[in-house]
Amino acid sequence: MLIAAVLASTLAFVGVGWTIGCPEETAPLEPGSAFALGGAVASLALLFLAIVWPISAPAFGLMAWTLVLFGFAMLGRRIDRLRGGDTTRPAAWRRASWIDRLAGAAAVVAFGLFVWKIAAVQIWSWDHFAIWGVKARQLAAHGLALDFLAGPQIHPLRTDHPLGLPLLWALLSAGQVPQPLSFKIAHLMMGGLLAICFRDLARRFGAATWAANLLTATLCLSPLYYDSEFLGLAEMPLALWSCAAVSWAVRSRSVPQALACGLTLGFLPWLKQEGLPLALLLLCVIGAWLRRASPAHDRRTFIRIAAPALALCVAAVVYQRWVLPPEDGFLAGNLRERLIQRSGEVPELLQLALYELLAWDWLGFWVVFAIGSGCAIKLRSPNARALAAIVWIQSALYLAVCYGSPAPAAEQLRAAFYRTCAALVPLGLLALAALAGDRKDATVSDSRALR
Amino acid sequence: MKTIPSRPTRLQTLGLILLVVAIEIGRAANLARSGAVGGVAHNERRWHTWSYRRSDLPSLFARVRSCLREGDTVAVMVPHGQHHGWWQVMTLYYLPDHRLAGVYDIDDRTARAAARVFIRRHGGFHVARPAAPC
Repeated sequence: MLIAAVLASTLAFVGVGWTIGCPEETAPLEPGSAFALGGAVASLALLFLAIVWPISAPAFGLMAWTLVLFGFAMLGRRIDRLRGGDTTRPAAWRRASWIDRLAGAAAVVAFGLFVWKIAAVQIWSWDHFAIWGVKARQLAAHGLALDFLAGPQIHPLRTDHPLGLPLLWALLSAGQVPQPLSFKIAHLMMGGLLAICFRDLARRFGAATWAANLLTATLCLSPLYYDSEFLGLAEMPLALWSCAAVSWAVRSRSVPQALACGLTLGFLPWLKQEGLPLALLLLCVIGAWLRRASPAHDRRTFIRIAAPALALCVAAVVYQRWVLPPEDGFLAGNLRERLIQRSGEVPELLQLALYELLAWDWLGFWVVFAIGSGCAIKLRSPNARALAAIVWIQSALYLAVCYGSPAPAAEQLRAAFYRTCAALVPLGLLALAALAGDRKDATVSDSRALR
Repeated sequence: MKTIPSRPTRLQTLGLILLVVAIEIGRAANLARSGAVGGVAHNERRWHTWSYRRSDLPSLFARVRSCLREGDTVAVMVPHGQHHGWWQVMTLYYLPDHRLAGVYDIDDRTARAAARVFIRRHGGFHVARPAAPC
C-alpha cells in the first residue's frame, strides 16, 4: 500500500508538472523536471492554503488523494497525446555506438548499487529523526494547522527549517503518516529522477552520449547517492530541484516553461535554508545566459522566470521569520565578536574543509572539478564557468556559515560541510559536461544550452 | 572562444569507462561485505554509531503504540544516564499521534497524569497508567 501510494503520488506530480509546464509541447519532457514542478506547485499551494485555512488531517489526506487522481488524469491525457508521436528513442538506442552503450550500462549499474544500498540500510541520520522526518510525520498526523511546531514538546526540533520538504513527503505518502519505507522509496524515486534529469541536461549542454552516461554513472557513485546518511534528508531533493530549475531554464521557450522555471527555482528555499542563496545564484546565471542569447527578446522571458522565483524566495523568508516559531539560527548571538575571535582558526578550518573535500568517497571529484573550473575560465566556456561559479560560491558560503555558527566552527564543519557540499555535485558535474560540450565543438555559440 | 584541439581517443574513453566499472566492482564488494549495516561511506563511519543508538526502536515503539490508547499523552521514562533529548526526538518521530508530556528518569514521579512508558536499558518496556497497565 505504501509503495503504491508513493509511486502513484510521484506519477501524479509528473502529470501535474507536464500539464502546467508544457501544455502545448508534444515532445516528451524528462520526468525529473516535471516531478519537481508538480511537487513544488502542490506543496506550496497546500502550504499557502493552510495559512488562511488550517487544514486538518482528514482534509489533508483527502486533498492528497484528489491531487493523485488529478495528476493521473493529466498524465493519462498527456500520454494519449504523445502516443504514436515519439518513435525516436528506440532508433536513438540502435544508433548508439558500443562505447555509448557500455557507458550507459555503467550508469545503470551505478544506479543499481544505489538501489541495493538504500534497500539494505535502515534510516539512521539524526537530522532525519530530529528535523525532516519528524515534521513530515507530524504534518501528516495532525494536518497543516502547524500547532505542533509551537508546542513545548518539540523543543529539540529545528523549527526555523522550511516545511516544503516535510509537506512534500507527506503528500508523496498520499496523506498517510510516512513510514521509514515511504522515505526510502521517495529517496530512490528522487535519486532516479535526478539521474534522468541530469543525463538529459548533460546532453543538452553538449556532452557526447558516452560522456553524459559516464557523468551520470559518476553522479550515482558520488556521496549523495552512496552515503546512506542522505536517506531521509533534504540534500537529494535540493539537488533534484536545482537541476530541474536549470532544465526548465534551458527549455524556457514559452511562457508556461519560463513560469515553470521560476516556480521550480522558487521552491529551493522551501526545501532547505541553503536553497535561498542557491536559487538567487541560479537566477543570476539564467539571467546572464538569456542576456547572451538574445538581449531584446529574452528580457521578458527573464522577468517571467524571476517574478515567481523572487516572490517565492521572499515568501520563504517571510514564512520562516514570521510564521514559523522563532529559533536561534546559525548566525544568532554576537556574530561580529565571534568572527573576530575565530580569525585565528581560519587555517585550521580551511585544512579541515580540504580534508572533507578530499575524502575517498568523492572519488577525486573536487580535484577534477577544480581543474575543470580552471579550464572553463581559460577556454571562456560560458555555461561551464557559470555553473562552476555557482558551486564554488555556494560551497564558500557553507564554509562561511560554519565559520560564523554559534556552535564551535570546527565541530559545525565536521557535522555539515561534507553533507551540504554533496548536494552541489550534480551542478559541478554539469559544469564538466558543459566543458566537454565546448571541447567537442568550440565553434557553437555561447548560448548552446539555451537554444 | 578558444579551442582544445584534441578529443579523447576511443582508448582513453574506454579507459575512463573501465575506471568507473572498477569503482563499481569495489563498491559492490564493499556492500556485499557490510550487508545492511552502514559503515562503508565517509559519514556513515563518522555518525552512524552516534546517531543510530538502538536498532530495536521501530519494533519497540510499534509495541508501545499497540499498548497506548488514542489521544494518550505519553511520558517516556528512561534509565539513568540516557540522553533525554535523544529519546524525546525518537518518541516524537515514532509516536506522531500522541502528545509527549516529556522524558524523565525512570524513578521520576512528576508525570503521573500521563501514560508512562518505562524503557528498559537492554530492550523491553512497560506502560503504566493509573487504571490499566499493559
